[in-house]
Amino acid sequence: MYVKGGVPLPRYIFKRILSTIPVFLILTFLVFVLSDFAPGNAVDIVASEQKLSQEAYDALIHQYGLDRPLLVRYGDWLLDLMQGEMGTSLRAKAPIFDLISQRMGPTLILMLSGLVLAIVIAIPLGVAAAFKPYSFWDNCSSTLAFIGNAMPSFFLALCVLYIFSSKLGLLPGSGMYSAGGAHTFGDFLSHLILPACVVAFTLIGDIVKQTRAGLLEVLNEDYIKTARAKGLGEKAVIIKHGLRNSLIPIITVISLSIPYIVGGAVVIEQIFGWPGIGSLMISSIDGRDFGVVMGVATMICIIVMCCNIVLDILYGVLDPRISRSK
Amino acid sequence: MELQKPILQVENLQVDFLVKKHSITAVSDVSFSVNRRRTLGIVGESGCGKSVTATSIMRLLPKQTSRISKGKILLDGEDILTKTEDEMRAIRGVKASMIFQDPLTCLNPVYTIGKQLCEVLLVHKLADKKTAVDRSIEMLNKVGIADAAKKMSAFPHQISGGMRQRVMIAMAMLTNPLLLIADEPTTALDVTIQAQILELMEKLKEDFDTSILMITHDMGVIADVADYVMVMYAGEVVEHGTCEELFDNPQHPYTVGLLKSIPRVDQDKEALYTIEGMVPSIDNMPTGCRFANRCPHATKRCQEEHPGLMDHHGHKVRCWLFEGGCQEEVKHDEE
Amino acid sequence: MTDTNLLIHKESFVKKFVKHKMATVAFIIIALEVILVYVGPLIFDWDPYFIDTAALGAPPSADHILGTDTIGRDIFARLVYGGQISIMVGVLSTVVSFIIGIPLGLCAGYFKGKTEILVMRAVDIFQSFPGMVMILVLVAIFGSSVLTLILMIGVMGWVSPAKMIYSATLSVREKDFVDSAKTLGAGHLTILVRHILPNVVSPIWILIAFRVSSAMLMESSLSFLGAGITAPQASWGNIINAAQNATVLVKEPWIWLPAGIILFVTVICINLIGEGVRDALDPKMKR
Repeated sequence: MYVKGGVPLPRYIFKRILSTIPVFLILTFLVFVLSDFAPGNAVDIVASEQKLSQEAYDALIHQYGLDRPLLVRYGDWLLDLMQGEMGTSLRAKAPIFDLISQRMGPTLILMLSGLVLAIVIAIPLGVAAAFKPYSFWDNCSSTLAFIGNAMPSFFLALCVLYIFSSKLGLLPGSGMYSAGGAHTFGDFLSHLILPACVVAFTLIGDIVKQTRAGLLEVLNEDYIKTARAKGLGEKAVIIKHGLRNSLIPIITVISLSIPYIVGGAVVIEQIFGWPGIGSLMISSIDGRDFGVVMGVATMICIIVMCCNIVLDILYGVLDPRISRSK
Repeated sequence: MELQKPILQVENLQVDFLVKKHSITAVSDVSFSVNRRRTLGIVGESGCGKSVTATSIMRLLPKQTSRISKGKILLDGEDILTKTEDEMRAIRGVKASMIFQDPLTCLNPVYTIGKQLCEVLLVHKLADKKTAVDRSIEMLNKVGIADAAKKMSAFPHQISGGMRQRVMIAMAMLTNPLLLIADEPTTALDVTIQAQILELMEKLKEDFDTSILMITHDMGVIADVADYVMVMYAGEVVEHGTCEELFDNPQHPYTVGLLKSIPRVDQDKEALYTIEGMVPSIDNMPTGCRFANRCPHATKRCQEEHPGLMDHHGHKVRCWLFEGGCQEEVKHDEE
Repeated sequence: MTDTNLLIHKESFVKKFVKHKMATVAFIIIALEVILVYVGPLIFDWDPYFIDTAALGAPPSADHILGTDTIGRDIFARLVYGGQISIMVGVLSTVVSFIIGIPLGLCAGYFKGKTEILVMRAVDIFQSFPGMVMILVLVAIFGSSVLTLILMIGVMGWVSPAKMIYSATLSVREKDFVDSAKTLGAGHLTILVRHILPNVVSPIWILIAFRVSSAMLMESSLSFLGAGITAPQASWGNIINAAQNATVLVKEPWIWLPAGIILFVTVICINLIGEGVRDALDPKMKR
């Protein structure tokens, strides 16, 4: 077989995963230190309920291990985290891990569908723009990109809600399923459309810009000349040889925008009443439920890391120069 | 005789470029023909129009900014300037192939060698997937790549520069084309590898019965491979003849200069000849001879009147000195 | 050779900027807006806190040209005062970002070695975590005021100026004048401030507008979520916050629509100014 070969990809993937571990540790440590500042640790709650003496309070602090050095407690916390143990929510009186894992699915669905929608819309727009630079299509797509960059996502979400949900009554604007209705896929999809479009719209601008610029650059490369001289049609030249090579910088743009997608998802979930970790975070902030806030922050850390690992692997797959050396 | 039938015939080719809405003539009045199993070398400094000429034959000049405004290009007897884009596509890579200067940037970095080779056959529906692989391996063997089956799965960055150019040549020859256009194929390579590549091209020409259009600025390369030579200067042909004629009895002062500027072992380094002055800019061509401002023999007539291409027993020269036929003294008085 | 110090000819900069017609229009709009927001209240009697009990959630009328919010405050006055806060947060947090980012980028590019690794690691970390979520966590613990908001948004925004300055410094540090300054015995600080900084500032001018607009977007998002500027103080974000109430969203669009439109227009205009500055400063963009 001639398709497979070179230095194996798995080693590259393993290296990428290893390299994200320090970033993960530092970020979670930061979150942990912050949570240490947060008012209302487990002992404080008991204290406020039972009016403890100073000695009893100190004893409890000791019992919970809160007087140990920060690093030791971080280590414990990390071990707990690996076992899915994040403490108990003050408000919901339920394990934080359960609360968060129930909300993970919807958030991931919203993020991914927004991202996929953005890619599906933006890449063809960018290609069309690069195909004929300074044409009508090019101007349209760069204007769209410009507006997408400047539009506050929460305002867009409100406008969309106002127009499509309230005024036109086309699509539901709140929650993931209609209240009291059966949980059908169609119902779910109709609830997903508006928030996913808003997530997508904020991303389209950057992807269109990068696709256009990257493709224009690649089309000047010598191997494009070769492809034309081989007798390939213009479409095959642009898609197979041009776009394929400009995908690599597009992946960079996407990986840099992952944090923005997550941040934006918090706002968008809140507006559309989407039952994800973003709206959980906002309600926990309102309810001063810090354990949950920290848990969500940690989870967001993990989501971003995982996304970046996946995109890094994609890099290696798309660009043999990265994963396979001489 | 079969051998005498021209594979490529170019007549009065003129190419215009569109720069800031102005039309500028980049190449004018270029005529030549290439017979079967012959090599025509086109020499000249960069910007003299040799690449533009070659690219016009493939009709690969950028559509928005350039236009073939005059002339005829007959490939295997068919006028390719009247072909539609679809018909052209079927010609490129099949009847005429092209290879370029830098083999590293000419191969797509994200595809394996094998995939890029097979693509030529597959896109023209000349083979199914399996035979395409077999023929590619066979071709790689022919261009002297050892371990060809294994190299099929290599990416371009994993092989050496010389080998990359061999791959490019293999890719061009896969379809057994009538004409191979080589645009500075050895410029980016080491001298030792240069010689190997030229030798390979020579061998393939014989084996595949192909004609070659060799574009280069290197007189040494021309001496090695060409049967005929065409010297271009500022978008025009200034001298055109057989390789022997041109090297033994160069007529145009520019050709003489080019030949003298080839570094030789027996020559003092300091005495290396250079042609003084600059090529006139494309949008500001003089009315007279385009070489006049650099020519040691320029007369008043040269400054005012543009010389035509004068033919003397097949040896064509664009110079007033040549008006009455060959002038031996041009060559001698430089020595 | 690339000339990094592009601001030598001030006149020619203005001339080039004016050539970008959209940017010029945007500049005029922003200038008018700033005058309206900061000078207007000095002349006219606009009170963003006055509660008109006779007009709760009233639509636009002669008394209140843009109507009133649910508790009877004048929307126009709140927009003006909200604009003061929003613009101030945008500009000042950009200043904070640059104060942190420029020295770090300079040092990373100039000293290389450990400093470089440390700064670039920090860039990685900040880049891979949503600044918005981080600020939400901070606000949840420490609460928020205009000052803390400026600081937090500013700190979260240090990465892009640092990266820009870093790459510019990398190319400048190899230049001859740096070496000659070294041989003359100049200290690191002198070289950094006197020789390198002036040669790497031009990308900063380009970045200013884009940082201001993204800081304003960040502020308004946070205020919208109730984690930024909080009532009774006004900001464009927290004016729109009212639309989280379905009745306001559907029945009283005059409350939230103008703030959103003004925010959107302001951000577009600032980005256009940024493009104008970039085109005027970056010779590669010239046609």
